[in-house]
Amino acid sequence: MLGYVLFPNHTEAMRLYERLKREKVRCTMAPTPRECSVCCGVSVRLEQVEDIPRVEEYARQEGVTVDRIEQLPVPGKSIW
Amino acid sequence: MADYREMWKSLDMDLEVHDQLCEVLPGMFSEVYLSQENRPEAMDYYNFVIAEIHGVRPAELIEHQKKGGKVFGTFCVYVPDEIVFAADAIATGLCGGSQFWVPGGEKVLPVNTCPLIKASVGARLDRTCPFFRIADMYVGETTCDGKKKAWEILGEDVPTYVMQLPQMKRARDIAAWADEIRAFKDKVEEVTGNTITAEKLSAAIKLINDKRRALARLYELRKNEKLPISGKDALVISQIAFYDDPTRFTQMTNKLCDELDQRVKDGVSVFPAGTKRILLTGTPLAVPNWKLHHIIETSGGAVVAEEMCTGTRYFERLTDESQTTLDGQIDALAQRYMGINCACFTPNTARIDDILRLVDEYHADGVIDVNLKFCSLYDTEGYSVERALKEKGIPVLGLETDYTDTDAGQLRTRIGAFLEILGE
Repeated sequence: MLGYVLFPNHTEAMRLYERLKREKVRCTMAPTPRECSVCCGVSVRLEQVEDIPRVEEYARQEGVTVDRIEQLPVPGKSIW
Repeated sequence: MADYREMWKSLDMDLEVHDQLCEVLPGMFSEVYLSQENRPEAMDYYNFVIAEIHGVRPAELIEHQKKGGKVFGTFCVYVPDEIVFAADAIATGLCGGSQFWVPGGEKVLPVNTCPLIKASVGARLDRTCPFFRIADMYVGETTCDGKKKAWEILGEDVPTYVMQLPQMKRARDIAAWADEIRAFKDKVEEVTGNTITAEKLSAAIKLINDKRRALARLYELRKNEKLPISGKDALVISQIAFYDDPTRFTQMTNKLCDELDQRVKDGVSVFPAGTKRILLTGTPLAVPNWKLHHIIETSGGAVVAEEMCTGTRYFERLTDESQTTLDGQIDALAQRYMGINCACFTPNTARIDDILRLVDEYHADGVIDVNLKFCSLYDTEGYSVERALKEKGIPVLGLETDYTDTDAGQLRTRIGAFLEILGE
């Protein structure tokens, strides 16, 4: 499973991403999966869902607004 | 999650149809790109750009317009972005790379038109791409027949300025292209209300050259035996180069290259030993056309370079920065741009020289010559390209494709078989 941290805008996403990178949390910037949102946009994808509690704490410390964190299975293979 | 629907509504986009693209793009990108192992960390910037492809950059362009600035949409690497930026305007590439837009184009264009043209027309007429809605003026060129006639149709919907690209490269043709650039400069000044001075054009030439230098640096790193970055990643970077803010793009690409420099020092490779090295040549791969790279790089190959508009044709050769007069600068631009070796020119033997040189420089095991369906220019030139490669004993595979997914299985079979015979 992967964790997707969703934000109200990309600025909040960048702020949390920078903090997570400093803390060596395994994460990437990723397009928000369709299951999580009806709009295009960026989320922070957590490679380990076990990191969710510390990610929530870092967000709180940085004053980053997080919409919510969703867990989804690893995407399947491409159709190509 | 950022809600851009108000912005899209203000652009008179068809939100319902556009939503269908929003539905598939995240999954497609995740499956193709985020499935890769050991990607450079700096690729997160480009993930961000793709994730926000119809959000952040369009919002920046609109902000620019609110301050009185103009946006020019372009479709060809021959159009000198330097002229646009020198007038304090913004140039953005508009080529469509998805089947999603093709049906819209087929409402007005013959089905036997290349999918890039059909997608570009469809994106505008169906109102399903914010970039196509934002541009104040489109800049077309007389590269191929399909484009020439498409501008006539597009021009009924959006102001379109067409540059007459010569078909040969004699001295008088280069002089003619310089005159076309002068006329384009006059048009840009008229549309923007800004005068292009020698100082501003000098700064714009350096701006665009800096972007080219950053891409050249990235490509240089792909010449290594141990590849620090995948071809797929290099492709999306090349695609983003067409529309991202030039200063930011240059900075982030140089930052990526710093990381790749370290990877090379540390002997990091994103492919296992024995992966076959492939040079791609042919028609451009506009975003989000990632099909071929994905198939090659999940079949035992690595794309080490692209002799394409989305590749070396975009950044090789800099514009001379030493000129201090407008005339000198425009002549320098004409020289630089006429050095691009597109199949719309005759003769175009310099492209074959480029391909042979790139095989050598990038230590390619083989070449895949890619042709978008119905592009007769590159298709016909493919005969000479493939003959030259065979004469040198360089394995080559010629492929024709479009934007649909239906040929993926067949392509995988042919590419897989080609990769197997390499190095035998």
